[in-house]
Amino acid sequence: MADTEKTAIAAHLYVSLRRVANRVIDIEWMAQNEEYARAIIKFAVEQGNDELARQALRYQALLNGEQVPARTEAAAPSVDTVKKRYIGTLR
Amino acid sequence: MAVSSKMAGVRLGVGSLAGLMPVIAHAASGGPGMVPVTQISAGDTAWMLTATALVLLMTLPGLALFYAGMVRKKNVLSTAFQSLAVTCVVTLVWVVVGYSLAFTPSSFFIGGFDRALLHGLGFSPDGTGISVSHIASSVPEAVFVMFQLTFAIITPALLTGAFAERIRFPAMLLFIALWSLLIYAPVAHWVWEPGGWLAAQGVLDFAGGTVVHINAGIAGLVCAYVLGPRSGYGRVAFPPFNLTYTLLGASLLWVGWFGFNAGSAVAADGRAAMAMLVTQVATAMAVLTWMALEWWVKSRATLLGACSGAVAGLVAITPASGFVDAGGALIIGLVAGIACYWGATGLKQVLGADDALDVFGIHGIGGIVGALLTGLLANPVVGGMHGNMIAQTTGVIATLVYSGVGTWVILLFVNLMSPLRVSAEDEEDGLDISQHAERIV
Repeated sequence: MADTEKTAIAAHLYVSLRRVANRVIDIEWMAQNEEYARAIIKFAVEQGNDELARQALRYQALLNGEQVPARTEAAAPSVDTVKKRYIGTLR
Repeated sequence: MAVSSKMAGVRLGVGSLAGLMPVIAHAASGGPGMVPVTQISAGDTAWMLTATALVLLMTLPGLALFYAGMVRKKNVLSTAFQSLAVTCVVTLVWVVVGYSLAFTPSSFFIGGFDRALLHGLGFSPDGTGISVSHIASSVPEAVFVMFQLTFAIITPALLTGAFAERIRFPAMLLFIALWSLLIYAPVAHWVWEPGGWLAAQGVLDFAGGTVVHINAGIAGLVCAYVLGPRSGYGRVAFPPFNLTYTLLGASLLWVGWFGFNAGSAVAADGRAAMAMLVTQVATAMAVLTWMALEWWVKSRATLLGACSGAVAGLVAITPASGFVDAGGALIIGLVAGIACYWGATGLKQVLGADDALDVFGIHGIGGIVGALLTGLLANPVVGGMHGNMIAQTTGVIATLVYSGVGTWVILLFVNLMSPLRVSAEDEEDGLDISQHAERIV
């Protein structure tokens, strides 16, 4: 169960790290090798990106046997934010 | 709308022509008149019938859907209804006197009343004679009247986007009737009737960049100033009701525009084919340009942006469509995408008018870009002539001034007859319920 969950979170990390830091990681190796996983977590947190840090901390909680923080929606703009873009302009 | 290449050479048939000679001579010498039916080209006529239907499709339902998707839910029905109502009002104005004022020779500035109530337009029961316009001598005049009517319809229909969500319906009907008669018909005469003063200057406007889009764009801006902003403009969000409607509308506009531009060759010939090709090329280029700009500025490409880019490209290629090659179309699409994006965002903030659906930002700016680039990029191999920047600039300025001032005067007059603006309560309730007692549930 833990490996499946690790792989799922690592897949999100893979996408985010590639987008934010242009860095490619090995998802399967992360699930198998704790040292590699912690190095990736440290690197992800250092990037200063909220979404990336949130995913890294979820993975860290899994490694530490803690309760994994609930998954929140990705950083898509909220409905309110979308509405605000129509103040005084349409396009 | 280009003067038909067949205008100069009237093809005489072998039928009994004796009784038709005086009117045939009239048709050939500069005004509409009767010709033998053998002069009519079946191919040209079939294409022009098709093109006419395509251009009407642009307004109904193209523009109706395009605009309806961008307003708030409480104004969707009224906005779509305005396009339908404009179609009917302009049709009547056109057949009563609009066509005659626009497309009969009389003076540099306005046509005559020769075709008032379409008097003289006809088809002999014995099949020997049929009336044609001197501008399109290979198709029946009835087709030409209808084709030009669809242009006369969509031009004021574009204006409804500028005063959306706040105009009283009766005032709008009166305004549109007067605007069609006093602004559209004269400008069409100036540019498209061979005796018009801008046509005489050498202004190139193949399908209506000046007559339709600059004209509607500046008039829309004046409407926005005179009516004032919508309640809450700049403070609360006005989210569009359903951008799927807008996509459907933009798609219908795009397809219909082939009738608009390629139909303006008034013949089924190579020039019509070139007009269709460059229309597609410029539009695709403008869409990609708009998307790239949005990506750069907002880090997202939006559907509304892509639809807006399409209309921007279509508008800008309109005056050039019978004069430029594919390379010119790429340039026009690129410049139109950039300029209209600025027109609907940066320039809109500078102007400060609540031009609700960006009629000036897209049609006005796109029309100006197209008119000026036609002067620069016209290829004699395509259209048989070079462009003239001085003439093009003259056409732009004359239309901006005449249409702007004329629209302002008409709005003041209409406001005296019937208040233009709905009450604050009616605006709050929405025009669907306050003007038409209907609503989307």
